[in-house]
Formats: sequence, structure tokens, C-alpha cells
Amino acid sequence: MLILKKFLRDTAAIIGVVIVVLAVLIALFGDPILVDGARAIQPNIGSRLLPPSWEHPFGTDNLGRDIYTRVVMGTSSALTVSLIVVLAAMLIGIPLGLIAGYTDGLGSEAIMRVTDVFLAVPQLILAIALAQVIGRGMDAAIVALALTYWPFFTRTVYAETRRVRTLLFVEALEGLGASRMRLMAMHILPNVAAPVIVRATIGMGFIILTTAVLGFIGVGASPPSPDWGLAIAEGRRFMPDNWWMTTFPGLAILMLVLGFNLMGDGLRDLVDPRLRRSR
Amino acid sequence: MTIEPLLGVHDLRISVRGDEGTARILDFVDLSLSQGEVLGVVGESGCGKSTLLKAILGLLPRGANVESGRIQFRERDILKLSSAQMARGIRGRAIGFIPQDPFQSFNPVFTVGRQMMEILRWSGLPGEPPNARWTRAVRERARGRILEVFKAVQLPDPELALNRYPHQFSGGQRQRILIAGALAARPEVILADEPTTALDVTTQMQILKLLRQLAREFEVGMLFVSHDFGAVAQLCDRVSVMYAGQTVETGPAAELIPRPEHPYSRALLACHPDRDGDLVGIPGQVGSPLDPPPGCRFHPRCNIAEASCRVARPDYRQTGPGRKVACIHARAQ
Amino acid sequence: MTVPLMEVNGLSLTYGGRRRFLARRAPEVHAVDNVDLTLNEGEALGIVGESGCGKTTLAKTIFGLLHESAGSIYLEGRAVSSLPPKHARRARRMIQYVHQDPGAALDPWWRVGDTLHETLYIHGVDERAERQKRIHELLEAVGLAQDVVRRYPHELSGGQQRRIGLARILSLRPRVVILDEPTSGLDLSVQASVLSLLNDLRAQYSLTYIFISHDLSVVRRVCDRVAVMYLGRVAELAQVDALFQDPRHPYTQGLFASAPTLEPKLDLAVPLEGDPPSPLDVPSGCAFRTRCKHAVAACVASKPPLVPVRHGGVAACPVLNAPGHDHTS
Repeated sequence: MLILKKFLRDTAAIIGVVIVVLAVLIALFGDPILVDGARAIQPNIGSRLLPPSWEHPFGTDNLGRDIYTRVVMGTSSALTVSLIVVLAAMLIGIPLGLIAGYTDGLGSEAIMRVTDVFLAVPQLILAIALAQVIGRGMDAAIVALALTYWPFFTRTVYAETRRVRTLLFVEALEGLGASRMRLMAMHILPNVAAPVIVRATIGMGFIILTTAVLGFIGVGASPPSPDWGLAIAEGRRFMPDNWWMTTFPGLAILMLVLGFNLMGDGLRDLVDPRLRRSR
Repeated sequence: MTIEPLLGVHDLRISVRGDEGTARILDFVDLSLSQGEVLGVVGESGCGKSTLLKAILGLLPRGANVESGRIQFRERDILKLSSAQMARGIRGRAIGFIPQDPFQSFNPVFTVGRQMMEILRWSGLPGEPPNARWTRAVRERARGRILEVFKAVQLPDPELALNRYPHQFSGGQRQRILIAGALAARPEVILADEPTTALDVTTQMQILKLLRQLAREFEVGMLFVSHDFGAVAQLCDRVSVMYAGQTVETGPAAELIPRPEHPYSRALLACHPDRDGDLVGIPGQVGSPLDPPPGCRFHPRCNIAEASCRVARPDYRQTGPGRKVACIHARAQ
Repeated sequence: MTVPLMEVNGLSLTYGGRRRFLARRAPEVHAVDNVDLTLNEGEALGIVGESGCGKTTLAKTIFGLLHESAGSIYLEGRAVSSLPPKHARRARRMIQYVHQDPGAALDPWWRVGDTLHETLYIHGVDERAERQKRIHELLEAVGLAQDVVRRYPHELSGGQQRRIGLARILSLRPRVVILDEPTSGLDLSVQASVLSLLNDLRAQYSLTYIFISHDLSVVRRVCDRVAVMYLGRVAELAQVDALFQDPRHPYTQGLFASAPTLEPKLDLAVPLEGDPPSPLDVPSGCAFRTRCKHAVAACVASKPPLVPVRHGGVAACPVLNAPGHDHTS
């Protein structure tokens, strides 16, 4: 297929895909294939703060837990959270963007102004505020992130819809009598999907990073969860002598975010309808 | 007495490697251009006109492979020069170029005068080497030259025009500016890529007249690429017809257009609405350069094709003074 | 005397001029200015003119995509103007529009077969089998192979895209088809086959055409009557042969003289000088007077009406066509 051929020539994109696929596999099968999940939260005071070795590839933390195990186990929560957030943001943001972009008048203006308001809210502050209300758990983090991320989708979809609206085939369909719903859902949406898909992919990386930041400041995951951000926060006290406590979770974040970004960039070049072939 | 042609393309064959395979875009192109004449290159989509222009300008894309042939200009084969070498003194200077779309060919954020200055800066003022030191004196001379060519193309208010932006001009005026840009460095050859396609009929006529006048006045050789036989009939002294990457016929416009000899030229001209007879088109399709028909590429659609047409490309034979046809049925002279 | 299929009286479309909240008042543009036309069943009416003359705007207004500012449209004697936009399209559904850029009129993410199905579905043909049958017939009628339904628009050539566009509107069984530059961008040979197809379809489906084009050679071959437009107004209207043999408006004369025919005329033709004035700044009185060598004082004062002229049609130039005053120019 033409699309595949083109993609395979983009080295950076392939690296991105490989990283992401690896992460997914680790999240799904890490326990029990790579590690024994139970060990992630079992303290073992006798082995505290051991540097990286054959037995403990990433060393142990202040409670003696194997960091390698904890990093692996943290993968699934990182991916799950960002997936939920991005999907929720898309479900809210895309329809709003379509409607705002395709219609004119008060409704459209109202949607965009509301979007502006939400865009002005800093994510972290909202998360902290929500934590006061709903409690400090992961739920607060997910809700806060979803509520502050949907406007990005709305804005992108709005701009693209405005552009696609002027294209001839939309005019042709309007002339033929197609209903607005039909036009938005079945014609405009596929044509604005391109930047949305790219943003969603890169968004995954962004959300993982933000979740880690939230974990770092104490919103979201709580001990003894192997959440990466939390692990970095816990390891702060032990820097720089026991550098492995913060470094390895940090590297995990770096790799996964990088993977999503590279993949997203590669996708950007692919979502061109002219690459589709009927055979 | 033969006049040495300014530009000669001989037996040019070019293929381009792409995502879907190797496209044999040009299979045999042969033409020559003399000083002071306008040669029209006519063909439908897929005939390779753009690739031909790119080859002459040294702007072939990566993945293009010149399989054979040469392009002779000033006693050298410019096909052998690298793009960088072409940029130094040939492209934009000795060989000028008028692009197709006056609405898209300008940078909207710079004034027209500034864009013209830039052109002169890298292609070099006549009499200066390219990329010469841009001293005040040189800049003054450049400005003078720009005003000179603006007047030559009959652009109204040339002094004021220098400080205007492209959108402040009409399509016809922009086309004149593009023509001026091509003339500024005093080229010997000008390649015009469908310069009137995007224009209205009345403007088109003005531009065609202008081009003819300029070709005579400045003694340049002009290569006018077009798919519009009408425009070619108005402007060109000689015509060369291309089909699917092959040159099929060349001759004086006044003879070729009323009496074409190649089956494709005949079929094509019969399609023109000004000609009598039913409008029927040409059966079949051009086909893809990825998998072209062997031999004469027109044979699958030709009503007088024979077995030998499939085997090898017919010789490009002289059938009269200045007339050449690539068809086995052409009577050689 | 039969009622004409369509009658357009005093049709105008004006942009701008209104005050809008917080926006500066846009200048008024009379894109279509007081146009009168009739369309007889079975004919091909050509509308020619250069960019800015309003021919496409006129077509879209007649079609119902744009809302007229003034004037009336009658279809088979029924009034179909002065209706809100949604109702306008419904009342005029016997008119269909084939766009200038046929590839762009197709959704690039959809296979063309699905697009054809959708068109029929929108128009109430619910049963898939029925749609299948109609599509099959139409593809044959427009000369396309049946397997074209699986293709995406970008996989088709310009000529094929045009044929799909035609099949699409034919599926709606229109009586009037507005063809907006049906041959622009096409190779000469493809153009010839498309024109030939249009002729066949006209006979086969009893269609009436409004044929918009800037290509005079094509219009001369295909149309029965032709209207020449300039800056939103009709300059001249006549039977095609009469018009081409004896144009009676200075603009028409200049236009025909400039058309690139196969006969060289660069040495003879005096092309129209200068550029057409901007539609934002139309000269008073006769819009063409700034480029006309026959202009007199009366041309500045008032808009010339369409007067009957010697070739049997009408022209908006009293100067050239004053009775007893046979200018040969």
C-alpha cells in the first residue's frame, strides 16, 4: 500500500511507533512476563537504596523496592490515564468544534468564547483546586486534564472546519440538499481528521508529561502507586547520591513522550486523502 | 545558409523514479530554437512539457535520470552542468523564465520593485558577473534597468509600480511584470510556461502581442509552451507537437496548423471547435508513463497504425523545409 | 406561443452596502445588475464574459445557492424567487448545477460510487437496489466503466471527473442543467469528447443547458443563443450565428477580435486596451465607456437599455445601433 511505503521511509516515525508499541506491550504483559508486579509495592528495607546492578537493573528506592519493576508497572497507568483523557477531550472538543465551525451566529460565538475561557485556565491550578473538592486521587487528575485539554481540539477543529466549509464539494453537497448533520458528520469530519489525529497522538505524550507533573506535586497518584511522577517526587530527597531513583522514571517519561511525538509527526505526512488507493 | 540555433534539444530521454515506480516521462524530444523566433511547444497533459522545461533550466527533481540526449546552448551541453553551475549565469540570466500563474508567482509581502531587485541581484545585471558586490552604484543601475524593462512591457506608471505590492496589480499587469523579470538580465532565450492560461481573453491577446513584439525587438529566442493551439497559432512562428514524451511533429505554424501531417496532430487539431466536422475526441487515453506503449506511443490510438509502429519509434524525418514528422507514413524528402 | 421554460426579469445581486454590527460598511458591488433572460426548452443558452462579469454569480443565483437582491425568476410560469434560501432550492429542483472544478466537487475521502449513492439517497431513493440500477445506467450514459465506482476522485483524470459530475446531477433527473465552464482545464481531445457527450445527453434526457464559458470557440459550436456579460450586465444577446457574424456591441466586438482562433490575427486585431474596471468601481452610465472608442456624452449619463438590433437580438448600445445608422465597425 502506498501509505505504508511512505511511512516506512520516515525513520523518525518508525522509531516513534516502535517505542509506543513497546510501551503498550509492556503495559499489557509486563506483569508477569518481565517482572513480578507484587514486588513493586512491597517494601524490603534490607535492600534500600542499592545502586543499579545485575539483580536490580535500575537500583532500589528508599523502601527497598526494585525500581525496574516499578517503572514497568507504572507504564500501564501512564498510558491508561492519557488515553482516557485524550479520548474524553476528543469526545467533548470535536463536536463542539464542528458545530462552531460550520454554523455562524450566536451559537458558534458562544462555543468559541467558552472555549477561550477554558483555555485560560492553567491545568495544574485547576487540578489542585479539583483535588480539594473531589479528593486527591487519580480521578481528580483525569477530570482536570480532560477539562483543560478539550479546548485544543475544539480550536483545531474549528479552524479546519472553517477552511473545509469553503471547499467546493461542500458547496456541491449543500446545493444537492444534504442536511447539516450529514455534512458535518460524514463529510467535514473526515476532512478535518488529519490535524486532529496528529494532535491526539502528540497529546498523548503531553498528557503523560502533565500527569507526571501532577503526580510530582501530589495530585493524582498517591503512594505506594508506582506512578512515574510520584516516583520522581519521592526520589527528590535522595538526589544526587541516589540518582537512580529519579533518573530512571524520568527517562521512561522522556522515551514515551518522545515516542508519541515522533509517531505524531510521521502521521502528519500521511493523512492526505490523495494517498488512498482503490486497489 | 543555416543559422546556428541558440538552443538545441537532441534525442532527450528522461525518467523519474517515484513512489509508484519509474516513470519514463520523456522518450524522444528534439527541437531547436533560433534567435528572434517564437517556437510553440504544444501537447496535452502527460506529454512532458514541464519536465522538458525543467531539464533546460537544470531543475530536474531528485530521482530524475537523464537516460540519453543533450541540450546544447552556447556550444555546451547544459544537461551536464549541475544545478549550481546552471544558477551561475545561465538560469535566470542567459535563459530566462516566465512562469505560468501570475496570481501565485509573487511573494505577497514584498513590493514588486524589491522582488525585481532580488532577481537582478542573483542573476546579475547585464554587464556584471552574477552575485556582484551590491554597491550603491550597482543598485542604481539595477533600478534603471528595472524601469527600462517595465517600460518595455508597457506597464503603466513604472516609477510608482516599484513600490507597489503584487495584489495591487491586475492579472494582466502581473504577467507583464513577470515578463519584465525574465527580460531584465538580457537573456538570449526565454522559456514561457503557459503564460496566458490564467488570463482573460482580452488580456491574453495583449500579452501575446507583447511577447511577439519583445521577441523581435530584443532578438531573443522564445520557447512558448502551451496546450492552447489558438494561442500558439497567434504567437508562434514554428510549432512542435509532443505526445506522451515524444516529439511527433515540427514545422512552421502557418503550415502545420492548417495541414498537420502526424496522425496525432491531425486528430488533435480536428478536436478544435473552430474546425468543421463532428467533435469526437481521440479514442483511448494517454496511458501512464510508468508503463508506456512500446515504439510510437500514439499507436494504440492511431487509426493508421501498423505492426512496425509497435516495435520501434519511427524516425523523425524531414518532409519539407523546416518540417519534420515522426511517423512511418510521412513521406521523407 | 409556448411559455419559456424559465424567465428571469430584472435579476440583481448586490454585495455589501449594509451596515453590520461592529463592522465597517463594505462597498456595494453589483455583481449581477438588472439581468433579463429567457430560456426555451431544449436549447443551450451560452453566457460569456471575462472574470468579474458576474456570469458565475448569475448562475448561482438562478440555481438558488445565492439569494437574489432584486428581480424575479419564473420556472414554467411559476414564481420561484423571493423565497427563503431553503425553499428556493426546493422550488427550483428541476435546475441542477455542474461545477467548474469537477474534482473539487467530490469529497476526497469518499469513493465516487459512494458519492453517487449518497446523492440519490439524499433525494429520497431509499432502496439500494434501485440506486444501483440508476447508477449503472448513468455510468453507461456518460461513458464510464462500471468499476469506476471503487475509485477515489484523485485517481480519475479530469475528463473522468467531469463525467462523474454529470452522472451525479443527472441522477436527479433535472430539466435545466447549468454548466459552469465545463471545458476549462481540459485537454483539447478530452474537451471534444466531453462536448460530444453533452450533446448526446441533451438529446437523450431532454435537457436544457445554461452554458457558462469564457471560451468563445466552444460556445460558438455548442450553443443556440448567447448572452455576453460585462460587469454584471447583459451587453448583448442573440442567436449564436448572428452574434458571431455581426456583433453589435463594442465590447462584444473587442472580445471576439481578441479570441485566440486558429487563424492568426495578431497583426490585424486591435485588442481592447487596458484592464476591465474593478467591480467595486463601475463607471457611471454605460460600464464599458472607459474602454470604448464610440463613447459619447450620453454614455456617461445613463445606463443604456437593451435595444433590438439588426441581427435580431438585443444589444445595450444605442450608439452603434441608432436606427438608420448602420455603423460598420
